[in-house]
Amino acid sequence: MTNTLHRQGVKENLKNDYVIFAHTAKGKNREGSAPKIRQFMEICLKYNPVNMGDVKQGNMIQDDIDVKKLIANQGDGAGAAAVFTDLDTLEQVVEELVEADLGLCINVSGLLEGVRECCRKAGLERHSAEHSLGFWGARDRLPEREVLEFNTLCGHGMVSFNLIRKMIEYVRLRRVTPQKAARTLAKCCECGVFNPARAEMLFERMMKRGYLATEKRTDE
Amino acid sequence: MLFTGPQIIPLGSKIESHSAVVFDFRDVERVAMALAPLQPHFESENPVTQLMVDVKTGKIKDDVLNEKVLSAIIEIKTSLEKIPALLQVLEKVSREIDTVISVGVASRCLSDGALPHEEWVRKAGYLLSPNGKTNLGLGRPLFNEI
Repeated sequence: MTNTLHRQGVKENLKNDYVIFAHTAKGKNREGSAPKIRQFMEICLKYNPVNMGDVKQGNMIQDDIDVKKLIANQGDGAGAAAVFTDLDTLEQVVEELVEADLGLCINVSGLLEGVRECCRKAGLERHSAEHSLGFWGARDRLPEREVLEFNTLCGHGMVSFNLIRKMIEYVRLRRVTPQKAARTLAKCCECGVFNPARAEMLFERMMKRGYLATEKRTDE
Repeated sequence: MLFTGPQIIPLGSKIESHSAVVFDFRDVERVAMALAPLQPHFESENPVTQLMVDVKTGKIKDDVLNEKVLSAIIEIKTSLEKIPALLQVLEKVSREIDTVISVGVASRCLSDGALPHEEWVRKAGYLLSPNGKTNLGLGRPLFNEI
Protein backbone atom coordinates (compact mmCIF):
# COMPACT_ATOMS: atom_id res chain seq x y z
CA MET A 1 0.00 0.00 0.00
CA THR A 2 2.99 2.39 0.15
CA ASN A 3 3.33 3.00 -3.59
CA THR A 4 2.21 6.63 -4.25
CA LEU A 5 1.23 7.03 -0.57
CA HIS A 6 3.68 9.86 0.02
CA ARG A 7 2.76 12.13 -2.91
CA GLN A 8 3.62 15.64 -1.77
CA GLY A 9 1.57 18.77 -2.32
CA VAL A 10 -1.28 20.83 -0.99
CA LYS A 11 -4.99 20.01 -1.29
CA GLU A 12 -5.33 22.53 -4.12
CA ASN A 13 -3.08 20.59 -6.49
CA LEU A 14 -3.65 17.12 -5.04
CA LYS A 15 -7.30 17.40 -6.07
CA ASN A 16 -6.19 16.83 -9.67
CA ASP A 17 -4.42 13.59 -8.92
CA TYR A 18 -6.03 10.16 -8.59
CA VAL A 19 -4.33 6.85 -9.34
CA ILE A 20 -6.36 3.67 -9.59
CA PHE A 21 -4.57 0.33 -9.23
CA ALA A 22 -5.53 -3.27 -9.97
CA HIS A 23 -3.57 -5.84 -7.99
CA THR A 24 -3.66 -9.57 -7.50
CA ALA A 25 -2.39 -11.77 -4.68
CA LYS A 26 -0.48 -14.98 -5.32
CA GLY A 27 -2.55 -18.01 -4.45
CA LYS A 28 -5.71 -15.91 -4.06
CA ASN A 29 -6.73 -14.21 -7.30
CA ARG A 30 -3.56 -14.08 -9.45
CA GLU A 31 -4.03 -17.25 -11.43
CA GLY A 32 -6.16 -16.60 -14.52
CA SER A 33 -6.19 -12.84 -13.86
CA ALA A 34 -4.83 -11.74 -17.28
CA PRO A 35 -8.22 -11.22 -18.99
CA LYS A 36 -9.50 -9.37 -15.92
CA ILE A 37 -6.51 -7.02 -15.89
CA ARG A 38 -7.04 -6.41 -19.61
CA GLN A 39 -10.68 -5.56 -18.89
CA PHE A 40 -9.61 -3.23 -16.05
CA MET A 41 -7.31 -1.38 -18.46
CA GLU A 42 -9.94 -1.22 -21.19
CA ILE A 43 -12.42 0.28 -18.73
CA CYS A 44 -9.83 2.86 -17.65
CA LEU A 45 -8.90 3.66 -21.25
CA LYS A 46 -12.53 4.52 -22.06
CA TYR A 47 -12.27 7.44 -19.63
CA ASN A 48 -9.07 8.92 -21.12
CA PRO A 49 -6.50 8.51 -18.35
CA VAL A 50 -3.54 10.91 -18.48
CA ASN A 51 -1.27 7.92 -17.89
CA MET A 52 -1.59 4.16 -17.66
CA GLY A 53 0.83 1.26 -17.51
CA ASP A 54 2.29 -1.65 -15.66
CA VAL A 55 5.66 -2.38 -14.07
CA LYS A 56 6.65 -5.03 -16.61
CA GLN A 57 5.96 -3.26 -19.93
CA GLY A 58 6.06 0.45 -19.15
CA ASN A 59 3.62 3.33 -19.52
CA MET A 60 1.57 4.70 -22.42
CA ILE A 61 3.62 7.93 -22.57
CA GLN A 62 6.83 6.12 -23.48
CA ASP A 63 7.67 6.33 -27.19
CA ASP A 64 7.87 2.58 -27.79
CA ILE A 65 4.62 1.68 -26.07
CA ASP A 66 1.44 1.10 -28.03
CA VAL A 67 -1.51 1.19 -25.69
CA LYS A 68 -3.38 -1.59 -27.51
CA LYS A 69 -0.34 -3.88 -27.24
CA LEU A 70 0.14 -2.80 -23.64
CA ILE A 71 -3.32 -4.13 -22.86
CA ALA A 72 -3.14 -7.19 -25.10
CA ASN A 73 0.17 -8.33 -23.58
CA GLN A 74 -1.07 -8.42 -19.99
CA GLY A 75 -0.27 -11.68 -18.23
CA ASP A 76 -1.53 -13.18 -14.99
CA GLY A 77 -0.78 -10.98 -12.03
CA ALA A 78 1.05 -8.17 -13.79
CA GLY A 79 -1.26 -5.60 -12.23
CA ALA A 80 -1.89 -2.20 -13.76
CA ALA A 81 -2.54 1.43 -12.87
CA ALA A 82 -4.19 4.45 -14.49
CA VAL A 83 -4.18 8.14 -13.57
CA PHE A 84 -7.15 10.51 -13.67
CA THR A 85 -7.33 14.19 -12.91
CA ASP A 86 -10.83 14.59 -11.48
CA LEU A 87 -13.21 12.84 -9.12
CA ASP A 88 -16.15 12.79 -11.53
CA THR A 89 -14.24 10.65 -14.00
CA LEU A 90 -12.85 8.47 -11.21
CA GLU A 91 -16.39 7.92 -9.98
CA GLN A 92 -17.48 6.69 -13.41
CA VAL A 93 -14.50 4.34 -13.59
CA VAL A 94 -15.23 2.95 -10.11
CA GLU A 95 -18.92 2.49 -10.97
CA GLU A 96 -18.02 0.53 -14.08
CA LEU A 97 -15.48 -1.58 -12.16
CA VAL A 98 -18.06 -2.41 -9.50
CA GLU A 99 -20.47 -3.45 -12.24
CA ALA A 100 -17.80 -5.55 -13.98
CA ASP A 101 -17.12 -7.41 -10.70
CA LEU A 102 -13.65 -8.51 -11.81
CA GLY A 103 -12.56 -9.78 -8.39
CA LEU A 104 -9.27 -7.87 -8.68
CA CYS A 105 -8.02 -5.86 -5.69
CA ILE A 106 -8.66 -2.21 -6.54
CA ASN A 107 -6.89 0.62 -4.70
CA VAL A 108 -7.14 4.35 -5.27
CA SER A 109 -4.48 6.85 -4.31
CA GLY A 110 -5.65 10.43 -3.81
CA LEU A 111 -7.42 12.80 -1.43
CA LEU A 112 -9.00 10.38 1.04
CA GLU A 113 -12.27 12.21 1.62
CA GLY A 114 -12.85 12.65 -2.11
CA VAL A 115 -12.20 8.97 -2.76
CA ARG A 116 -14.49 7.99 0.12
CA GLU A 117 -17.32 10.06 -1.40
CA CYS A 118 -16.58 8.57 -4.79
CA CYS A 119 -16.93 5.06 -3.34
CA ARG A 120 -20.23 5.93 -1.70
CA LYS A 121 -21.64 7.30 -4.94
CA ALA A 122 -20.69 4.00 -6.54
CA GLY A 123 -22.56 2.15 -3.77
CA LEU A 124 -19.48 1.06 -1.82
CA GLU A 125 -18.10 1.74 1.64
CA ARG A 126 -14.32 1.77 1.53
CA HIS A 127 -12.66 -1.34 2.98
CA SER A 128 -9.43 0.11 4.40
CA ALA A 129 -7.19 3.10 3.95
CA GLU A 130 -3.69 4.29 4.68
CA HIS A 131 -2.40 7.74 5.64
CA SER A 132 1.08 9.13 5.26
CA LEU A 133 2.60 10.64 8.39
CA GLY A 134 5.28 12.34 6.33
CA PHE A 135 9.06 12.11 6.26
CA TRP A 136 10.98 11.70 9.50
CA GLY A 137 14.66 11.56 10.33
CA ALA A 138 17.48 13.20 8.35
CA ARG A 139 15.25 15.38 6.23
CA ASP A 140 18.22 17.57 5.37
CA ARG A 141 19.17 14.76 2.96
CA LEU A 142 16.02 15.35 0.94
CA PRO A 143 15.85 17.77 -1.99
CA GLU A 144 13.76 20.95 -2.20
CA ARG A 145 10.02 20.67 -1.50
CA GLU A 146 9.19 21.51 -5.15
CA VAL A 147 11.49 18.73 -6.40
CA LEU A 148 9.80 16.28 -4.04
CA GLU A 149 6.40 17.23 -5.47
CA PHE A 150 7.59 15.92 -8.85
CA ASN A 151 9.63 13.00 -7.52
CA THR A 152 6.83 11.54 -5.41
CA LEU A 153 4.58 11.41 -8.48
CA CYS A 154 6.43 8.17 -9.20
CA GLY A 155 5.73 5.54 -6.58
CA HIS A 156 9.12 3.87 -7.03
CA GLY A 157 11.24 7.05 -7.03
CA MET A 158 12.31 6.46 -10.65
CA VAL A 159 12.35 10.17 -11.60
CA SER A 160 15.71 11.44 -10.47
CA PHE A 161 16.10 14.63 -8.47
CA ASN A 162 18.68 15.93 -10.95
CA LEU A 163 16.51 15.30 -14.01
CA ILE A 164 13.72 17.21 -12.28
CA ARG A 165 16.08 20.12 -11.56
CA LYS A 166 17.25 20.02 -15.19
CA MET A 167 13.66 20.18 -16.47
CA ILE A 168 12.89 23.05 -14.09
CA GLU A 169 15.91 24.88 -15.49
CA TYR A 170 14.86 24.15 -19.09
CA VAL A 171 11.36 25.47 -18.40
CA ARG A 172 12.87 28.57 -16.79
CA LEU A 173 15.03 29.15 -19.88
CA ARG A 174 12.00 28.46 -22.15
CA ARG A 175 13.93 25.63 -23.80
CA VAL A 176 10.98 23.29 -23.31
CA THR A 177 7.31 23.84 -22.56
CA PRO A 178 5.85 22.69 -19.23
CA GLN A 179 3.98 20.01 -21.17
CA LYS A 180 7.14 18.63 -22.82
CA ALA A 181 9.05 18.73 -19.51
CA ALA A 182 6.21 16.89 -17.74
CA ARG A 183 6.12 14.18 -20.41
CA THR A 184 9.89 13.77 -20.23
CA LEU A 185 9.65 13.10 -16.51
CA ALA A 186 6.64 10.80 -16.95
CA LYS A 187 8.60 8.50 -19.27
CA CYS A 188 10.92 7.56 -16.38
CA CYS A 189 8.08 6.14 -14.29
CA GLU A 190 7.75 2.61 -15.62
CA CYS A 191 4.47 1.63 -14.01
CA GLY A 192 2.54 4.65 -15.26
CA VAL A 193 1.42 6.31 -12.02
CA PHE A 194 3.20 9.60 -12.77
CA ASN A 195 0.61 12.32 -13.40
CA PRO A 196 1.89 14.43 -16.33
CA ALA A 197 -1.08 16.83 -16.08
CA ARG A 198 -0.22 17.67 -12.47
CA ALA A 199 3.48 17.93 -13.29
CA GLU A 200 2.64 20.38 -16.09
CA MET A 201 0.56 22.39 -13.64
CA LEU A 202 3.46 22.42 -11.16
CA PHE A 203 5.79 23.77 -13.89
CA GLU A 204 3.22 26.43 -14.82
CA ARG A 205 2.93 27.43 -11.17
CA MET A 206 6.70 27.86 -11.10
CA MET A 207 6.57 30.06 -14.20
CA LYS A 208 4.20 32.38 -12.33
CA ARG A 209 5.69 32.21 -8.87
CA GLY A 210 9.39 31.60 -9.38
CA TYR A 211 11.71 28.62 -9.49
CA LEU A 212 13.01 26.66 -6.48
CA ALA A 213 14.94 29.03 -4.19
CA THR A 214 13.56 32.08 -5.99
CA GLU A 215 9.90 31.33 -5.38
CA LYS A 216 7.84 34.43 -4.67
CA ARG A 217 5.56 33.96 -1.69
CA THR A 218 2.22 35.47 -2.69
CA ASP A 219 -1.41 34.76 -1.86
CA GLU A 220 -2.04 33.26 -5.30
CA MET B 1 -4.93 -6.87 14.09
CA LEU B 2 -5.47 -6.14 10.43
CA PHE B 3 -6.66 -8.88 8.07
CA THR B 4 -6.20 -11.66 10.60
CA GLY B 5 -9.64 -13.08 11.09
CA PRO B 6 -13.28 -12.18 11.22
CA GLN B 7 -13.47 -11.80 14.98
CA ILE B 8 -10.83 -9.16 15.25
CA ILE B 9 -10.73 -7.58 11.81
CA PRO B 10 -12.50 -4.29 12.51
CA LEU B 11 -9.93 -2.77 14.82
CA GLY B 12 -6.32 -2.65 13.89
CA SER B 13 -3.53 -0.77 12.30
CA LYS B 14 -0.51 -1.28 10.16
CA ILE B 15 2.52 0.92 10.39
CA GLU B 16 5.00 1.01 7.54
CA SER B 17 8.15 3.00 7.13
CA HIS B 18 10.64 3.25 4.30
CA SER B 19 13.29 5.61 3.06
CA ALA B 20 14.05 7.47 -0.18
CA VAL B 21 17.76 8.01 0.40
CA VAL B 22 20.55 5.42 0.19
CA PHE B 23 21.19 3.67 3.49
CA ASP B 24 22.33 0.27 4.70
CA PHE B 25 20.71 -2.50 6.67
CA ARG B 26 22.30 -1.29 9.91
CA ASP B 27 19.78 1.56 9.83
CA VAL B 28 16.96 -0.89 9.13
CA GLU B 29 18.09 -3.05 12.03
CA ARG B 30 18.29 -0.09 14.38
CA VAL B 31 14.67 0.83 13.59
CA ALA B 32 13.41 -2.76 13.80
CA MET B 33 15.22 -3.36 17.11
CA ALA B 34 13.80 -0.13 18.55
CA LEU B 35 10.26 -1.23 17.67
CA ALA B 36 10.64 -4.87 18.76
CA PRO B 37 10.29 -4.36 22.56
CA LEU B 38 6.72 -3.14 21.92
CA GLN B 39 6.01 -6.60 20.49
CA PRO B 40 4.58 -5.64 17.11
CA HIS B 41 3.85 -8.40 14.61
CA PHE B 42 6.42 -8.05 11.83
CA GLU B 43 4.60 -9.03 8.65
CA SER B 44 5.92 -12.47 7.72
CA GLU B 45 5.52 -12.02 3.94
CA ASN B 46 7.54 -8.79 4.00
CA PRO B 47 11.07 -9.22 2.51
CA VAL B 48 12.71 -7.26 5.36
CA THR B 49 11.11 -9.54 7.96
CA GLN B 50 12.54 -12.51 6.08
CA LEU B 51 16.02 -11.06 6.64
CA MET B 52 15.54 -11.00 10.39
CA VAL B 53 17.30 -13.52 12.60
CA ASP B 54 14.59 -13.21 15.21
CA VAL B 55 11.35 -11.25 14.89
CA LYS B 56 11.19 -10.89 18.67
CA THR B 57 14.34 -8.73 18.65
CA GLY B 58 14.25 -7.30 15.11
CA LYS B 59 17.89 -8.37 14.62
CA ILE B 60 18.91 -8.57 10.93
CA LYS B 61 21.24 -11.28 9.57
CA ASP B 62 24.88 -10.19 9.89
CA ASP B 63 25.74 -10.96 6.26
CA VAL B 64 23.35 -8.32 4.89
CA LEU B 65 24.05 -5.51 7.36
CA ASN B 66 26.46 -3.71 5.03
CA GLU B 67 24.19 -3.95 2.00
CA LYS B 68 23.06 -0.58 0.66
CA VAL B 69 19.52 -0.05 -0.52
CA LEU B 70 17.27 2.76 -1.73
CA SER B 71 14.12 1.48 -0.10
CA ALA B 72 13.25 -1.06 2.57
CA ILE B 73 9.86 -1.37 4.17
CA ILE B 74 9.39 -2.46 7.77
CA GLU B 75 5.79 -3.53 8.02
CA ILE B 76 4.15 -4.27 11.36
CA LYS B 77 0.67 -5.06 12.60
CA THR B 78 -0.35 -3.93 16.02
CA SER B 79 -3.30 -3.03 18.19
CA LEU B 80 -4.67 0.52 18.09
CA GLU B 81 -3.66 1.37 21.64
CA LYS B 82 -0.01 0.70 20.85
CA ILE B 83 0.07 3.26 18.01
CA PRO B 84 1.16 6.25 20.16
CA ALA B 85 4.02 4.33 21.77
CA LEU B 86 5.21 2.90 18.46
CA LEU B 87 5.16 6.32 16.80
CA GLN B 88 7.10 7.83 19.70
CA VAL B 89 9.74 5.12 19.43
CA LEU B 90 9.89 5.61 15.66
CA GLU B 91 10.30 9.36 16.08
CA LYS B 92 13.10 8.86 18.61
CA VAL B 93 15.01 6.33 16.49
CA SER B 94 14.56 8.47 13.36
CA ARG B 95 16.82 11.06 15.00
CA GLU B 96 19.53 8.45 15.49
CA ILE B 97 19.88 7.32 11.87
CA ASP B 98 21.36 9.11 8.88
CA THR B 99 18.48 8.58 6.51
CA VAL B 100 14.83 9.40 6.04
CA ILE B 101 11.88 7.35 7.19
CA SER B 102 8.53 7.82 5.48
CA VAL B 103 5.81 6.67 7.82
CA GLY B 104 2.37 5.32 6.94
CA VAL B 105 -0.49 4.02 9.06
CA ALA B 106 -3.38 1.92 7.76
CA SER B 107 -6.41 0.20 9.22
CA ARG B 108 -9.55 -1.55 8.14
CA CYS B 109 -12.57 0.74 8.10
CA LEU B 110 -15.51 0.43 10.45
CA SER B 111 -18.92 -0.29 8.95
CA ASP B 112 -19.53 3.44 8.39
CA GLY B 113 -16.23 3.86 6.56
CA ALA B 114 -14.46 5.57 9.48
CA LEU B 115 -10.80 4.79 10.05
CA PRO B 116 -10.08 3.68 13.63
CA HIS B 117 -6.40 4.70 13.53
CA GLU B 118 -7.13 8.39 12.86
CA GLU B 119 -8.17 9.18 16.42
CA TRP B 120 -5.16 7.35 17.92
CA VAL B 121 -2.66 9.06 15.65
CA ARG B 122 -4.14 12.52 16.33
CA LYS B 123 -4.25 11.83 20.07
CA ALA B 124 -0.57 10.96 19.90
CA GLY B 125 0.09 14.40 18.39
CA TYR B 126 0.91 13.49 14.79
CA LEU B 127 -0.49 14.97 11.58
CA LEU B 128 -2.28 12.81 9.02
CA SER B 129 -1.94 13.54 5.32
CA PRO B 130 -5.06 14.65 3.41
CA ASN B 131 -4.18 12.12 0.71
CA GLY B 132 -3.53 8.42 1.00
CA LYS B 133 -4.49 5.06 -0.38
CA THR B 134 -7.92 3.50 -0.25
CA ASN B 135 -8.70 -0.17 -0.75
CA LEU B 136 -12.15 -0.45 -2.30
CA GLY B 137 -12.67 -4.01 -1.06
CA LEU B 138 -13.46 -5.43 -4.51
CA GLY B 139 -10.89 -8.26 -4.35
CA ARG B 140 -12.24 -11.80 -4.35
CA PRO B 141 -12.30 -14.28 -2.71
CA LEU B 142 -12.83 -12.46 0.57
CA PHE B 143 -10.35 -13.28 3.32
CA ASN B 144 -12.69 -15.44 5.40
CA GLU B 145 -13.91 -17.34 2.34
CA ILE B 146 -10.54 -19.07 1.81
